[in-house]
Formats: sequence, C-alpha cells, structure tokens
Amino acid sequence: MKRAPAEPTSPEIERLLAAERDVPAAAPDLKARALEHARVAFLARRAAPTPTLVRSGRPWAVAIAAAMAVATISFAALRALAPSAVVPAPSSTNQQNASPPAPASNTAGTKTETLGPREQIRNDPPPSGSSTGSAAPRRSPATDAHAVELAILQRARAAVASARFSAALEPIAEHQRRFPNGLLQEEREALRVKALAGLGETEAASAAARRFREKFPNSVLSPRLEAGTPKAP
Amino acid sequence: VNEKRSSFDVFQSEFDYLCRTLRRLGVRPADVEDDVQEIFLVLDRKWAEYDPSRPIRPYLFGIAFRVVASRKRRLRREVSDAVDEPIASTPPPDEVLETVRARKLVVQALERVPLPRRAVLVMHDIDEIPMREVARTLSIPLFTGYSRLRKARKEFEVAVLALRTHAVES
Repeated sequence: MKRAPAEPTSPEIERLLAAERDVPAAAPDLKARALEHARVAFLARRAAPTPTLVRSGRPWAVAIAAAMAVATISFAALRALAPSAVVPAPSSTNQQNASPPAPASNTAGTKTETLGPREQIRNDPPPSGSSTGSAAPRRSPATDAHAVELAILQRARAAVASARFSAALEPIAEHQRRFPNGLLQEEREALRVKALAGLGETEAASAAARRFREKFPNSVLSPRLEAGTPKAP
Repeated sequence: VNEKRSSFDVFQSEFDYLCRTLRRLGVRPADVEDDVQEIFLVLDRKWAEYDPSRPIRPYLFGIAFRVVASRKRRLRREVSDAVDEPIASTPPPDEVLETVRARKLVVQALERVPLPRRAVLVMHDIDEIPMREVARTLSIPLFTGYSRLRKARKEFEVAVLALRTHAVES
C-alpha cells in the first residue's frame, strides 16, 4: 500500500496492522439474530409508511417494534407454526395501523422490546380531508415487489392459521413461482412444512422440514418447526 | 437509486466487516449487536442517497463512525471490558493463535487512541482506504486527515509498546 506522508511505522506495527486487515467472521448466533431483525425492519419500511420514531436509548429496538407492527409475516409464520395455535385470520389486510404487539406475541425469541413511555411510535395523521390510502408514500418497484410477497404469504398464513391447509398450498406455490428467491422464502418454506403436516402428509412434511433446515440452518423458525413437524415413519 | 442491490443485501454481505469495524472503534462486544442494528437502520434510511460508483466500505465506515460517536456523546463514556486484559507474552503455539493475539492487541491499542484519530488510522492503515476518501467520509479537510493519521500512528505505537510491557510484567 502506498503510505501516506506521515511518520513511518515500525515493522512490528506493520505486522500487527496487516494481521488485522483480514476480517474475522462474526459469531453465527449474533449474525443470525441481527440479520433476522434487519430483514424484518427492511420489509416493514417497504410495507408501510415510516412511522415517526421518538428517540430512545435503543432506536433500533423501537424500529423493530414498529416493524413487528406493520410487517408481521415472520411472526405470523411463527404463530402459525405453533403446535396448538389455530389463530383467526386478521379481519383486515391493512396492517398499517396495527397496534404494536403485546409481549406475549413476541414468539420469535428475539430481543425486540415492549415500548416504554419514551418509546412511543407516532404515526403521523394523514392530511386533513384525505383518506388514509391517499397519503401513501411513493413506492419503488422493489417496494411493490415486497408488498406483493407479503400479500401472497398473508393468504397462506391465514389459511394455515384457520386449518385450511390445502388452501395454503396455492399461495405458497404462487410465491414459489413468482419469488423463488424472495425475501420471504424462509417464511414460505416454513408455512409449507406446516401446511403439509396439517394435511397429514407426514413424509412430505418431514422432507420439507429437512430441506428447510439445510437451507436456513440458523433460522429463528427452526425450533417451532421442529416441534410442530410429525416424524416420518 | 440502488434497485439492483438492496440495503439488506449490502448489510448481509458486509456484516462481518461492520462488526469488526465496531470493535475497532471501541464498541464493547456486548454492544455490537445494538450498534450494528442501528447501522442497518441508518443504511436503509439513506440507501437511496448512496452513490453506487463509490466503494461501499468507506460509506459503511462513515455510518459506523457516526453511530459510535453518537453513542459516545450520549453516554459520555467509552469503556471496554478488554482494556486491562493482559496480552500473553509466551510464544504462540501456532500461527492461528498468533493472529488472534495480534488482533486482540490491535483492538486494545486502538482503544487508547482518541476516536477521531482512531477512525483515520483504521480507515487508512487497516482498511487501506485512500486518504482523500477517508477525509471525504469523515467530513474533514485532507490536511486534518494527515495530521490525525500522524498523531494516531504515534499513539497506537506507544499503546502497543505499553500493552506489551504490561503483558511481560504480569
């Protein structure tokens, strides 16, 4: 490397700095958690207008809480994966004004925190005289794609949650066809396992679960999946 | 607008670099997760402003530096649970251990360099980013960049010597 015109460093210091240049891998569990949080936050920003966040000591935690309020497909998948959970489908597909989830709904084992008094999320009201829909921000093609992904898997999630397992396979197949490597492929495959298990397709469910574990070895969905998947004979 | 590569793609591919950068900037291991998430939120919010013709690492370093500086201002403290950890003075059994020890020593020595100068040293001497880009990223004049680098190298060298001495004595 061409040295800057400053005092030269000793050979020992050079060796130390050279040893530091290769970046070591981060701890796998830290990486898995952080990427999952980032992915949820990423989807949330594209699925809904950005809420105004009041500053707090942990702004990312607030944003992730907001993420859970507006783009809950990961967590919906988790709920659907719970062995005994047959939760009703949401009454409305508009999740944008959903309240932050209660602590009990934080099923992902993540570090997401309940909002404290100083960590309230403030959704700015729409301009007077305008409908909620008309205040939507301009979206990029990528944003639209993420919204479509979410919508498709919401259908699958709702079907699984209401035990209509065969109905879940159609949106799962649609998502597979349109977004084979989409951001929500992990949730899609988890829902596939649950749907197949619900249909009594034990072998297919086990095979799908095996593929899931191979493809997403650090997934936060894995423990639920493991518990809810029947063992193939 | 970076339609082809999303902020999440970049965050994922540069995750290890970001975590290491935070450690180099003096963030405690226990705080790395919080800070790396904050970096992602900033990156995602500003992604449309990023010029893809510029190298990504200086850009990410700039975000990391500001997150760390902001935290420091907020907390008015900068601590490390590794500062007083002695460096083993016995010969290493193999090359891997030597690398681990060297990395540890570098991080500990960096902690003794004030943050503004440390940022220049890390960017230029470790990340090998040209000084002009360093100055641009940190929003400082080029001359100031060189001045900080010169001081930081001296401070770093003194810190390494002190840590080595401390290790031998203990």
